[in-house]
Amino acid sequence: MPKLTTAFATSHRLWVAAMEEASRGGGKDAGLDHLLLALTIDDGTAGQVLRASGVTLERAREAIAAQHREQLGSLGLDVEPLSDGPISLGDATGFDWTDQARAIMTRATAIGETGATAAVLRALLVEPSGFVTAVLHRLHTTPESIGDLLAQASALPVTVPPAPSDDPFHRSTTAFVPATPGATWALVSDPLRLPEWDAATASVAPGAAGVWIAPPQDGRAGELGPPHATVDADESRRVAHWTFWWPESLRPTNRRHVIFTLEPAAPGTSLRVDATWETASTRRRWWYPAARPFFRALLWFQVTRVASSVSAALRG
Amino acid sequence: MPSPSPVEQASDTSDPFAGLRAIASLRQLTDTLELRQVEAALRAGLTWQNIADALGVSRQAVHKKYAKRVDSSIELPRRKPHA
Repeated sequence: MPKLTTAFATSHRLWVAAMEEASRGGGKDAGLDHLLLALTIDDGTAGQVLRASGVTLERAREAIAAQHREQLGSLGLDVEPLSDGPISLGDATGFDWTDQARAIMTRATAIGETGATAAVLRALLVEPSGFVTAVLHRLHTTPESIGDLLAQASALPVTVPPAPSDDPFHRSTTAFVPATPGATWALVSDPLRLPEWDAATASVAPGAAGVWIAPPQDGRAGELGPPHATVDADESRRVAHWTFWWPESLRPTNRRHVIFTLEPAAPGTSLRVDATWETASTRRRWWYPAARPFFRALLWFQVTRVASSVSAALRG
Repeated sequence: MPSPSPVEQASDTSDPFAGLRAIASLRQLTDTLELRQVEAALRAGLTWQNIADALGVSRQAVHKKYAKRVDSSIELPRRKPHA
């Protein structure tokens, strides 16, 4: 993947996860602590190294809270840090990196770095305030130890990810979910829990023959009418195949497929999300080639949003 | 030996680097609390000027800092049109 694309994808994934963690304290600034938490649920090398070192999401949350509590205590303040509320991004406006966190992200894309999450973690391990070092000490590890593991992991032969599908209407992504496969399966296979990961759905009601009807959140379905959904859930393979369509639409509409595939990945679950639009017309339109990058970007945002919504719903 | 009072503890400058890092934690806490209070004030119908007066800063400063950060469901006060 080109460096710029890697850097953008990394930055977006970490941005969403860090903002979600910041929102648990009611804040809108994502700092070094939130960046570290975002890295603990990274699907790539950085997340794997952190989790293998015992720096899991839950343990890191506790260590960060304890570190803030100690620092505030040194000022004579006996207060609990504000960090244990639910994830609540609202419409996600107003969030920003702190200067410290932005400097780390900039360093991770500097000359000689790839912009991947491993580069972000490398930059975070040498952040100058000492906050991250103090948190890691609380977790009985050190920046040097994690840096060594990261170097070893980076020296291993790179597994080339499968080339993206040639279909402009299909994209997939994988994410680490800090919850058991059972808990993740219970979320992604249950129609009643659809609103927890599909931002466009506020509620679902059962229709006929296993169909679920999901009116849009603002109650205005417009000319499309309410979306209908079915789920084909195969628990033995841990594959849940969702299909969405708009039978009351006044014009031809495309069917949307979202497929979840789960695999155990201690101490959580590896989640693959495939999103496909099944076009209503078989006729190839002349403008498809020109619009191809737009469709690919749109679908990429859709799959990453679904994956991060599943993760957010399960880590609360 | 009696333990230091909170003020003495807060004024301890024997380890300035640790002290500065503690200030960063305090700033993170106060920034979050300030945002909550500003949002509560706007929901209660206070103006940007009221908020600025309470915080002891200019209306422009508080507007610049919070206009795009507060919950978007809050209806923001507008300046009264000139007569």
